Amino acid sequence: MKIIITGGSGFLGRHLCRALTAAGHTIKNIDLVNNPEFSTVIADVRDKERMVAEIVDANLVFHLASLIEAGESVKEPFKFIDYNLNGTLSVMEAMRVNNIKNFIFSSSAAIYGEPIRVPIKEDDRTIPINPYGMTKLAMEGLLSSYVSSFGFTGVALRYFNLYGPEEHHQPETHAIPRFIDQIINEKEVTVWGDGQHQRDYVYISDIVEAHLKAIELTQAKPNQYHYLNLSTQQPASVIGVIKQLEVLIGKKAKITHFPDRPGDPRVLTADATKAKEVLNWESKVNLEEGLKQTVSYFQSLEQ
Amino acid sequence: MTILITGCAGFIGSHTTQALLNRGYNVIGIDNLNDYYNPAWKQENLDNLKYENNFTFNRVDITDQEELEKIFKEQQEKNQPIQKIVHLAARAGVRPSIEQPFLYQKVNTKGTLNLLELAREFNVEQFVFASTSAIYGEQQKIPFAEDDPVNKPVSPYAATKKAAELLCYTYSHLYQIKTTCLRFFTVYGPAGRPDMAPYLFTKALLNNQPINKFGDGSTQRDYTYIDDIVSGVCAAVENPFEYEIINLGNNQPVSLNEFIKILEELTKKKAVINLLPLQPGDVPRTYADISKAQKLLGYQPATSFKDGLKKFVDWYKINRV
Repeated sequence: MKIIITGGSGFLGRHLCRALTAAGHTIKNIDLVNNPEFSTVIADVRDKERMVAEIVDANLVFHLASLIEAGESVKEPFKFIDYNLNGTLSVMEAMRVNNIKNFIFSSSAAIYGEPIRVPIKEDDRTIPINPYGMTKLAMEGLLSSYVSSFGFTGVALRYFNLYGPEEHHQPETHAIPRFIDQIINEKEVTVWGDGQHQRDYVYISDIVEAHLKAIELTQAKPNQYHYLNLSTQQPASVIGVIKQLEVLIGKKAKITHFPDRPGDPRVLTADATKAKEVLNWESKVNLEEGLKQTVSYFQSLEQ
Repeated sequence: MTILITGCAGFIGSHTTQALLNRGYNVIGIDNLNDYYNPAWKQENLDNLKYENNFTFNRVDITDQEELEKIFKEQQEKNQPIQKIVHLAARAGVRPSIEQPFLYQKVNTKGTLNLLELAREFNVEQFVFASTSAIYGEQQKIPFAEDDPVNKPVSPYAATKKAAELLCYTYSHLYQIKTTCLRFFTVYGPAGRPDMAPYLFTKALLNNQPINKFGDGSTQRDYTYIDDIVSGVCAAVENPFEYEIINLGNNQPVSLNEFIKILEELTKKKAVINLLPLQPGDVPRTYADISKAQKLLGYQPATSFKDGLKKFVDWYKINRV
């Protein structure tokens, strides 16, 4: 299949590009940053004319280009609205103009905000608590409206904490790569509150597999809007993650506790029953195995 | 898509060839395997390339217009015309260019003109040319930006590369060949050139021999790791422009003294220094402004000098000791 990926130079994007080409698909990556392994068109998804010119001759689009830092979104809401919403809209408009109907994207469990219950089910209330979650929810809204108005087939995959080898952000705000770096280099490991918060960590290969299965879903059930949680259904506490990392790295973490962040839910985890039914997907890599792979990647960089 | 790459057996050439092959292009490589340094190592670079049936090697000199033309004709007859040219072949090295200016002129300027003429004759879509930070000469303003004046090259090497950039512009203007001149900043890494400091110093330290240090060690180079350069070259191939000059550097210059210190740590050896005066033609510093590459090519150097030099030393120990 001919597939276009926006944001194919990022963490998920790089893994997904490899998996798609390995599965025999032809890909075209559009990103602001070059992907050293695959042809990349350097373009901004907010550039409407460019998108109309570039998003052509394909069966499906994975729209991964997005700003992703919840904390940054609180400081720069205009930027998030601009990149995430105008970017998504110009990609969808280009698809409409060029008659490409299948759209798959990484939404986020951040759309739920503070859950009324855990594990969260897809039709639970969605009240985002930061502009990032709001833009992801609005992206879903744009997608569902293009499904109804223009006969698109849409898939939104909602998950919390993605992790795995080759995850790099500047600055590193994501918990697992940050903890690994701090423990390996004997720096302070900063934890909000008592660290008993439970979070839903999903390994990269599981998420990539869900994206591949989503392609089949667009073929099997076209002209619908599909929204699905992806989860291991086994949340882990922050302290628990650090303990496992200590064992894998063979060093003790120097933990510093910061005050609790107000409104930080104690447990965030999603129910993945629907993904099992609709997508025939379930997570295969448990936290222990996933952390092992991730640590060995980061250790290989340090050598 | 068929791409011609010149200098495919060299350091940057062989890495770039592999990256283009990995991306699925049909690659025609040419190289004359000259003896500027050990041709066996160039042959080794060729032997290490991994490909299925999408690579053809021709031992040709870019100063030989007739032989070059045959390749273009052959490809046209095979119905696989050359659509892009990545022109890396050159006489490199500042100091030797002072010894052999005519040779540098012939290879770097005339050789580039030969390829541009063929690009015109065979309707090649895009021409990517390897230029150099040496073009900036003794410029005071840092970091070096593409629009800075570069009219005072201080070595024949820099002058011949500057002349080639000008020819590139002329051809892009006259014949609408999309052209990108990439100014590389002191590229290093595995299989790196044996006449450059990382190689010479690593070799000397590991063999407990003195290193030749030119000047007081305050000269700076914006060492750029090979993988980052290759990523920039591929992005240039895949994002054509009418005519652009783009720096590919690391934006993190390292002084000669820092360099020696890092190398001492990596090799766990103390350098014995043979102090020599600064050489004619050498520039005090190179320092790339890479904002244009970031914007146009999504270029983002990912390897620090320390990490890159470690990879080089590891490679050296396995392949040259």
